[in-house]
Amino acid sequence: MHTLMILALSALLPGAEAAESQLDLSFGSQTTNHDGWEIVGDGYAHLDVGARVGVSLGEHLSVLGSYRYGADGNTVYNDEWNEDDTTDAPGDEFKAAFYGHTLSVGPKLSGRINRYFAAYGTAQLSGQLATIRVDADPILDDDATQLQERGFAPGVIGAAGLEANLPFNQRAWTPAVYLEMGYGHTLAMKFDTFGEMNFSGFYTSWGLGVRF
Amino acid sequence: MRRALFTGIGLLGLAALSACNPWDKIPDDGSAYLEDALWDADVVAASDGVYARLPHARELVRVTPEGNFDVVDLGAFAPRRLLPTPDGAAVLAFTSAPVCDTTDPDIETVEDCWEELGEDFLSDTYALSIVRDGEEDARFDLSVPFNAVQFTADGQTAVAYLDYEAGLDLDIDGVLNLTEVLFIDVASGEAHSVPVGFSADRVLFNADETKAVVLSRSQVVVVNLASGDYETLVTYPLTLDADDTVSPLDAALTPDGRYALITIEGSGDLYILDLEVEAINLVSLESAPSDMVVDSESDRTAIVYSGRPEVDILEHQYFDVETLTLEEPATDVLNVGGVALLHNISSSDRHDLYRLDLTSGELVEMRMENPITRLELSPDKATAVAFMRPEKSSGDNTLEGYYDDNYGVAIVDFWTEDIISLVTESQPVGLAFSEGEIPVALVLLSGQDDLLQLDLGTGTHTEVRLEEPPLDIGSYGDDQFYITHDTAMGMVSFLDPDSGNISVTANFAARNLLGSETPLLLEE
Repeated sequence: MHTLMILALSALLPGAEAAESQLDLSFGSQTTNHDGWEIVGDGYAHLDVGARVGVSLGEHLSVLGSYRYGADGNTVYNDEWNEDDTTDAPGDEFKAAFYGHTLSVGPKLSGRINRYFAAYGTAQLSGQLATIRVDADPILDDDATQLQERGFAPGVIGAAGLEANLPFNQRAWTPAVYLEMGYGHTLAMKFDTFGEMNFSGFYTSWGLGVRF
Repeated sequence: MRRALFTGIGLLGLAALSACNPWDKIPDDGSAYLEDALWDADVVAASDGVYARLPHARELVRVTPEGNFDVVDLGAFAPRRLLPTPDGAAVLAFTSAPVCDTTDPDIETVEDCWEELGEDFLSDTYALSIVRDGEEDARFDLSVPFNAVQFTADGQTAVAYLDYEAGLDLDIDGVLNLTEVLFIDVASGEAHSVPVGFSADRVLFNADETKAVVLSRSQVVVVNLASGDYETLVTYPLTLDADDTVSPLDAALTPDGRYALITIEGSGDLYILDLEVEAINLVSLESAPSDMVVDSESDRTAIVYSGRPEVDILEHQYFDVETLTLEEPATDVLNVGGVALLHNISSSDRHDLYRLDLTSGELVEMRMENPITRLELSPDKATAVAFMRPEKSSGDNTLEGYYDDNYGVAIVDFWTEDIISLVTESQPVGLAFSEGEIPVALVLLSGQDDLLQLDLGTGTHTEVRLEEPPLDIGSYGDDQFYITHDTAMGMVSFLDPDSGNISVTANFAARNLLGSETPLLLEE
C-alpha cells in the first residue's frame, strides 16, 4: 500500500519529458469473491490478455484505452451422494465456462522518476461483455444440452503503476514494461437463466510494449 | 504510426472474437462441486405439464412439450418433495423456508442471519402447497415436515404424514411432534391436526369414505371424516405389552370396507380389525408375509412369503386360510381381478411365475428365462411385462447361457401361458404402456439412446431415437408420455406414441447456476 501511494504521488510530480503515447501487449487479473465464479472460473481471479493503447494529451496526461479477453472453465461435479456412493443427481458432470471481453478507457496521469522509470495513476471506466457456456455432453458439438447466455456490466478501475523503459536516445520509440495494481469493480452482469455475477476486488495488470 | 497501431488493435480484436465452433474447446481449468443437484429427475406430471424440483436453485419449474419452462413462484419456500393429486390436475409440493429468529428488518437472507447472529438463529418452517396451472393455488402450514399424502378417492380430503422411507433428512429445531397427521379439506383449505400415535405412515379409507384408518407404531386409529371435526372414533392397540413394538408392514381393507387387514413386520400375526363393532381378530400365519393383495372379485386375499414356497388364500367371511404349495417362494403378488400373479423379485435366482385363481384355487406355473426384477400389468390386464436380470451363468455356450448373461424383457400372456423373452443390450429402467390401436409397451434401457416400442401381441419392436440416455418414463395427458434423461442441466422429452414424434425441453435446471443469497421467510 505504501508503495502504491509513493507511485501515485510521484505520478503528480513534474517530469523531465512529456507523457508518451504507448502501445502494449497487456495481461490482467481481476479477483472476485462471488460464489458463481467458483462454478465457471479457476481460482479467485479472471485472467485475460489484450492490447492497450495510450495517446498523449499533454505533459503528464494521456488517455488509455484497452481491450482484453479471457476464458475460464471448469468441469462441474455434483456433490450430492447417496448411501451407495453413487450420485443422486442426474448426469455425472458438465462443463461450465466464462468468456469475458473487457473494454476500458480513462485518463492516465504520469510523471518521470528518471530516464528509466515513470510512475502513474489511472482511473478507467470499463465495460465487460461476458458469455457463459454450459455443456452437459461435451463430446457432441451440437446437442440440446448446450446453453449459452450473455451478460454486460459497466465498471470502474482505479490503479497506480510503474513503468520502465529504455532511454529514447534519438529514436522515435523505445521498449517498455509496466505493472499496475489497484481495485476493480463491475456491477452485476445479468445472465437470463444462470443468474448474476460481478467482479469486485484486487486488480492488477502488466505488460510490455513501446513508448513513442 | 498511429494508423498502424489502431489497425493492429483491430486485427487482434477480430482474432479474439472469431471462432469456428465455440463448443469445440470449452476451457477446462479445474473442478467445481455443487452441493445440491441441479434438478431432481423424480418429476411429477400434471395435466398442464411436468413439474420438477431444482434443489440448487431452490425452485419449482413446470416443463411443457412446447420446449418452454416457467418457474412456480413459491416465495421463500423451496420444494422438498412433489406428489401428484389423484385427478392429475394439480401437484402437491412439500416445501420448507428458512426463518431467522430476529426482528431486525435489515436481515433478509440466510447469509445475513448467519453472519450477524449465527447458525443457532436459523431454523426451517414447513408448508404444503397445491400447484395448479403453474401457480401456487393454496398453501397449508405444517408443524411437522410431512412428506407424504393420501387422498380419498374423490380427492376432497387429504391426509399428510411423514414417510420415513422417503429418505429425507429431518432438521429438528426445538421440538418435533411425530404423533400427529394433518387432515386437509381440499375445497375449503382448512387443516386439522389429529393425534394418532407415533410414526404414523399409512392411511386407508373405508368404502364410503366416512372413516380414515391411520396406522402407526403399535396402534391403529379410526378417524371420523363425516362430521368435519375429524374426531377419533376408536383406537386399536396392536399390543398390550408396552415393551413390545408392533410395526405394521402392509394394510388393506376388505372389499366391503368393514375389515382392515394388517400384516406386521417380522411377525406371522395377521390383524383383522372390525371397523363396525370395534373388535380385533388375530390370524396366525406360518411366517411373516412379504406381500398381500385383497381381491374384490373373489372377495379373498392372497398372501405370499419370501421364505416359504406357499401361498395363503384368506376368505373374508370367517377368515379361514387355504394354503397352496408352490415350487418356489413368491415375494410379490399382482391382482388381476379374481386372479393373482405370484412372482419372486428377491436376489435369489427364482424363475417361477404363477397364475392363481383365487376362487377355485387353480394354480398354473410359468417359467421365466431369467429372474424377474419388475412385473407390471398392461392397462387391459391381458398381458404383463417383466424386466429380467442376468443370473449366474450355466457356463455353457448355449442359448440358455446367453440368456443367463444378459438383461431381458418378457411379454407374458398369463392367460395362455405364452412368454416372449427378449434379450436387451442393457438394464431395462423404464416402462409405460400405450393404449393405442395396437397396445405397446414403451421400454427404456439404461445408457441407451433408444426407446423400444414393444408390440404386446407379437413381441416385435421399433426404436425411437432419444436425445440423451433416459432415466424414466411416465404417462402425461391423453396417452402422451414424458421421458426424463440422465443429463445434469435437465431434460424432459415428450412422446406422442402414435406419431413417434418427440419434443425435447432442456436446460431448465441451469436456473440460478451462479447461485445467490437465500431469502428468508419474512413476517409481513
